[in-house]
This record gives sequence, structure tokens and C-alpha cells, in this order.
Amino acid sequence: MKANVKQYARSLFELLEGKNESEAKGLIANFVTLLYRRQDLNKAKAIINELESLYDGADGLTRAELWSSRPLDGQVKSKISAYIKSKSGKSDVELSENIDKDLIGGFVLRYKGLVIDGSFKNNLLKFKKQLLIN
Amino acid sequence: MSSTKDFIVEQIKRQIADFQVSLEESSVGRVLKISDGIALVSGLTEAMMSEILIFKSNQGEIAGVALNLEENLVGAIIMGDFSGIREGDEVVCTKRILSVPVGEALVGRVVNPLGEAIDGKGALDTKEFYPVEKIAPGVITRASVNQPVQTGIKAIDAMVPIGRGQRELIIGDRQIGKTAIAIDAIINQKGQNMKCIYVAIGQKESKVAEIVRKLEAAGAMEYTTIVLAGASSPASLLYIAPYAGTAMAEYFLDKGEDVLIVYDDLSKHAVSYREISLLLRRPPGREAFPGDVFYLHSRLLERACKLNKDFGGGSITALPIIETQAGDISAYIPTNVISITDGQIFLEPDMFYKGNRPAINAGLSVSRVGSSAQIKAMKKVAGKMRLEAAQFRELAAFAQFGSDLDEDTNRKLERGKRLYEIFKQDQYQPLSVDKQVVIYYALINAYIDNVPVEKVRDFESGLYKYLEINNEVSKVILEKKELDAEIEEKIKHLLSDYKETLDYLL
Repeated sequence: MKANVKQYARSLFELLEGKNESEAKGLIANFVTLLYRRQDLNKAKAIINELESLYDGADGLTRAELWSSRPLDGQVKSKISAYIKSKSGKSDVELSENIDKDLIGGFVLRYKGLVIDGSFKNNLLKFKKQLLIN
Repeated sequence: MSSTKDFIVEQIKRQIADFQVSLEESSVGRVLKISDGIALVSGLTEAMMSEILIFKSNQGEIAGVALNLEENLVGAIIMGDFSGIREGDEVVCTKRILSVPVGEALVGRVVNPLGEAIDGKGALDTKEFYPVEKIAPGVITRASVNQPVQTGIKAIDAMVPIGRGQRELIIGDRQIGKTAIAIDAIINQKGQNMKCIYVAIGQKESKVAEIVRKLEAAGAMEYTTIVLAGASSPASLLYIAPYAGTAMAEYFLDKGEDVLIVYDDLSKHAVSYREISLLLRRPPGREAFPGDVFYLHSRLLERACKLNKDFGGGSITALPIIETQAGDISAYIPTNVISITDGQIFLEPDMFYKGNRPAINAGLSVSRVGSSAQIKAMKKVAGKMRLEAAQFRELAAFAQFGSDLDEDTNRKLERGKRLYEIFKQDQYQPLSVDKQVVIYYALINAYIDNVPVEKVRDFESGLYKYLEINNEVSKVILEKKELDAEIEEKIKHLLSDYKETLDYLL
């Protein structure tokens, strides 16, 4: 039976639990051999991504990307973190900040396959669309 | 001048004041692969089936529709020019199922399958949207077909009558007048309380432009909408075109109105769906069509219906068109659509090239709804017309071998020749039902037997003119819709009066 990416990642995740580094290395080498035998090496990248999110889930961590036109102050960032915590139900948030001058103002937040676009650029585009419709 | 300027400034001010800034959370993904109008998108964990997706490319936003929801991927078709989309571009869910604008504003317009005007007459003023895919009305809501659609084509109204809410297939090879029948039927709906929708799927834009011109000249655009997915449109637009057209028709259905919708043609629709399916890597079946190609057409044509009074009493009559290859009606798509529809009008190349136009084959054409979709007067004169026409063709083939035929056979042959002359009809010349009743009455009651075969068409056109001058008979037929002894007497009188004016009788 073919196993899918999620099943691979979960089994590897469970195998690695509580193992030290040298044990883990051996297990991973075996895992790669298994992937090779089952002709599933092309799924490796997706399995790594899935594994990362499994680890994040176990640690209670949510990764989020924050884009803004200029650095945001701490208060705003903590509000955003609180929002993500309330939405994801996880205790920890890792915010990676990026600067994108094109946004003009506001921010864009990406986490767990979702996006909140509160940038000035996006609102201007929306406004333009509304003007064109009317 | 300054007041208009002020007005515009005021309007813009008001719009700026009214503009609401809102924050919405939406599911996003990234384009993994893009080819031939199909995109594979990662992420989009919350995407719904046939949800509108927005592709954010550097050339602006392009709409797409989710068709394949897989474990880690979403397969989507792109509704428009996909050349600007690159791998890695962002794709956003809209939480809206694919829908098209509907309403009175669409009447008289040419639109694309997304409901955008493409006739250069400005944007459409529509407020309502209907979903493109919708489950057909159920048994409780339906009534049996009992009202005729007058196509104005003599051979059809007599032999294969079409009722409101029926699905009648028009099938035949290329270039033998399939579209012509549909267009004539649309032209004849003037004053019949019918909205018409013509869906052009993969047609040449020049042909559609010609059709629009003809419909405008005939005054038929006043009640007609044209949905155009031309030959150069991507397969995705061809695929949704008939569903979009039906959604537009359903708006009028819900208001209790009658709609005639023509799908021209479903062979190209099936081919475009095959293209999409193969690109989405769905397994191919017979003739490389996917497994659900039957459902593709059955769910579309099932939306044609006649609703009962409790549900408004509206109807959608569907005239799908299928193009066959070298007369092969046993190919995959033709057999599918024949089995879905309530009958077919089969056009034959042999007859077409012999000059019998419209080239309707009387033997293979049927209407399963039949005479319940005719007015009583028509039923009376045209009851056995189909049988007679089919018998004549057999007799004629048989009679080629011998010259010694008995009187009865000879009479049948002579009658048959005149019948086929009457079936001939020029394009864009639909005929009202009263005139049809009179000409058929003349035929079955031997008024045409002494008219030379080559003069039958002159006899006919003369008779119609005579009818228009003495329009009392027409009025009575249209009013009463049946033939009682009194009207028959009047018709007899009119026919013998008319024949006295002729000098070419045998």
C-alpha cells in the first residue's frame, strides 16, 4: 500500500521521539533507504515540511510571517501575536519580520496557510476596483 | 458643464467616504505548476469544490476555479489569459462558488461565460448572481410538457413538435443547417412570450457576429442573450459556458417565464472538458473522454424543465446541438446526448445536397413528448405527417426499380413529392402556425394534388399572401387553436377561391 506524506512524517516523528542524536541519525538513514526502496524519494521535501509542522505542533509553536512597509513597534507585534495565539490555540508564536516598501502602510500577516492583508496597497486596489464597478 | 463636473466630484467624494476598510482572513496557496490553462496549487487547505480562486500575478488578478481537491494540492482551471501567471504566485480563496450575474440587463446583450459584456455596449447593470452549477429541479416541482414551442419550421412543428420544457437534440454533420434551425426557432419566438439564450461554444467569432446581425435585423435581440465562448477562448471558458447560460435562464424560470436555450454545440463542449480532464490527469476512457462525461451533459440538460403552477409555472426548453463526423450517430457523445434528450432532429447530408432544406430525416427524427406539444388544429392536420413522410421515402426508393405501379402507390408517391416540397423552407423565414395549419390542410385534403410539383412552392407563397389579405381565417385559428367544422368550411372556401386565381393547375 502506498503511504502518503502525512503518514510518512507521522511515523518518522513518532520513531524519533525520545531518541538521542546518534540513534536519530541511524533511524533517519534507514528512513531514507525505505523511501528509496518504495520509490518515494520525490516526497522527501514535503515530508520535511510536514515533520517541521509536527514538531512545531508538539512544541506549541506557530510560525508566522509579518510583512510591513517599516518596522512595527512592540505593542502592535504583541497584539498580532496574541491574535495568532487565540486563533491557533498554541502557546507560542514565532514572528519573522520582513520589510516590503511596496505595501506603503499597514501589514500583511501569513500563518498556517492563511493570510490577512491589511496593507495600504491592498486597500487602494480594492478601492480602485470599487470605483471601476460604480 | 461645471454642474456635471461637480456631480462627478461629489460622487467620488461620496465613494471615498463610503469606502470601508476591512480585514479578512483568507486561505492562500502558491502556484506549483502552470500549463495550458491548468494550475496546480499548494496550500489552500480550505478551498471548496468549484470555488473561485484569485491568482495574483504581476499582470493583475486572474480568476480561476478549483476542480480537483487533492490531499496536498488543488487543481484549478484559469478563467482567462494565463500567460502572466508564474510559478510561486500567490493564490487566494474567495469563499464564493462560481456564479454569474443574472437579470433583465442581460437581455439583448452579448456576454462571455463569466457574464461580462463583450458587445461594446458598456458594463452590465446587474445586482443578482446565480451559481453556475446547480442541481436540477426535483420531481415535486415539475409538470408535464403541454405547451408548444413554435419553431416556425414547417417540418419540425408538424413531425417533431417541441414543447416548453422539452430537450430536443439537433444532430447532424458540419455545414448542413443545424445552427440555422436553432436561429430560426429563436427568430420565431417574437411575441410568443419567450426569452431566448444562445450559447456559442467554440464557434467562430465571425459566425457569431453574423448571427447577432441576423437576430438584430429580425428584431430578435429584444428578447435574446448571447453567451459567447469563441474558438480562441481557453477550454475553461468553453467548459462553463453552457452552465453559465443555464444559470442566466434560471433567473427567468424563477420568475415564472419561459426560456428557450440553445447550446451550440455540445460536441465542442465535451472536447473542451476532455482537454481539462486530461490536463488534470483524470483517467481517460472511451475516445479519451473522462468517466464523467455522461454526467457532464446529463446534469446540464436535466436543468431544462417545466415547473408546475405552485413553483411559478416557468420553463426552460433546451435545444442542444451535436455535430457528428460523417453521419456517425453511434459515436460516444452523440449516443450519450441522444439518450439524455427527449428526442432528436436528425439532419441528413444526402437530403441537404438534394435541395431538401432543412434536411430533416423523417424516419430518424423523433420527439418523445410528441403531440401533447401541439395546438389542436395542428394535431388534426399533421397527425400522421411523420409516418407519411417516412413511408414516402421507402416507397420512392422501391419505385425506382419498376415503372408499373398501381394507382394507390402512384397517388401516395405524388402526394409524398408534394409533401417534401412543402417541407422545404428558406433560412430566416419562420412561418406562423396558422399558415402551417392551412398549408397542411390543403395537402391532406387533396387541394395540392393538381398543382405541378415544381410549382408547389409558388402555390405556397401565393397562398400565404392570399391568407394575409384575407386574414380572418388566420385570426380564428390563432384564437381558437382548434379546427371545428366552421373553420374548416372557411379554409375550404379560401383554398378554392385562391385556386381559381391560378393558371398552372394540372
